[in-house]
Amino acid sequence: MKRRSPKIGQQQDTAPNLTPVVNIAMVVLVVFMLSASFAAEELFLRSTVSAEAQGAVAPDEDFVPTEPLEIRVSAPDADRFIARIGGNVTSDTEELAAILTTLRDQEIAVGTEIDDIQVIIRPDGNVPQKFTIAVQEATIRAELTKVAFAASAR
Amino acid sequence: MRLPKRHLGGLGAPNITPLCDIMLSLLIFFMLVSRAGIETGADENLVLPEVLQGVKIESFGETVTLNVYDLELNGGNLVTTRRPLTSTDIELTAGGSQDELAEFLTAITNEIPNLKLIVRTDQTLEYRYVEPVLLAASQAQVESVNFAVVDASQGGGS
Repeated sequence: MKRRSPKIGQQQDTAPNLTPVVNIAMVVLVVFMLSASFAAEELFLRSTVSAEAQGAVAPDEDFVPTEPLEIRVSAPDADRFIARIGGNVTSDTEELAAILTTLRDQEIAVGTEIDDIQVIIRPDGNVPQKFTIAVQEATIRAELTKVAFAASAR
Repeated sequence: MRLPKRHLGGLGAPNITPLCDIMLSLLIFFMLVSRAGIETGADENLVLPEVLQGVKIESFGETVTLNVYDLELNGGNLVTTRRPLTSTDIELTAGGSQDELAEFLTAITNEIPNLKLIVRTDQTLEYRYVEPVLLAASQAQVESVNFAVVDASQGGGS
């Protein structure tokens, strides 16, 4: 077989052909761009479960339990909730956060560590999840992190 | 005026090196942000509750996602999830006479002690359907329960 020898003065193209690589990379890029979703990213609200259904757990001898802040939540209709904590009653998340902040400050004033303040959310059975979450969000706004949901066998 | 002669090596072949650089950078970026291959069994049709404050879970390695419904199943309510390792979708009963969810979670917590539970519910789901799930989590000694929500500031929806 005869090989073509480059003519004098003509450059030989020794670069590899990148066209297939570029084609494949472009297709993969378009797939990833289409599958990526940036809107309305999912978040999470952390909590624990109040283990009251399991019976009391024997505490350490030195452990002195603090009285938990219990929020009772009811929903008289599908569009609003009523949260009761202590002697306070509210239907507004902002107001609930303010009440919780006041109660938190009172607890701190008597020497309770903020991490030891336990909040228990006790919704009625018919309370929609959006209201339960709204109450939990109020506790986060009040910087209360130890939040549990009351769960008991009905 | 005489224009200088250009030496065109491969006659008209453009230099695609910058194009490749940018494209590969974009490719790596989208590969990193993409969640392709991370299938948790989450039901994307659920309209999650909206919040303004929440946290992100960076690693889904020790999590189990539960979709909670108000449909009845064997005297309890329906919960769907994806079984770890085998990645098969399963339906379980929460509450009722036979609490399959509690058994399922207990079996998993024996394997993964620091299990994080992700609970996905529709925003209109009543608490009485969520309560058996929390109870099952308590029985299985799952300490971290996370409610999936959407950021209301980004338009919400799911």
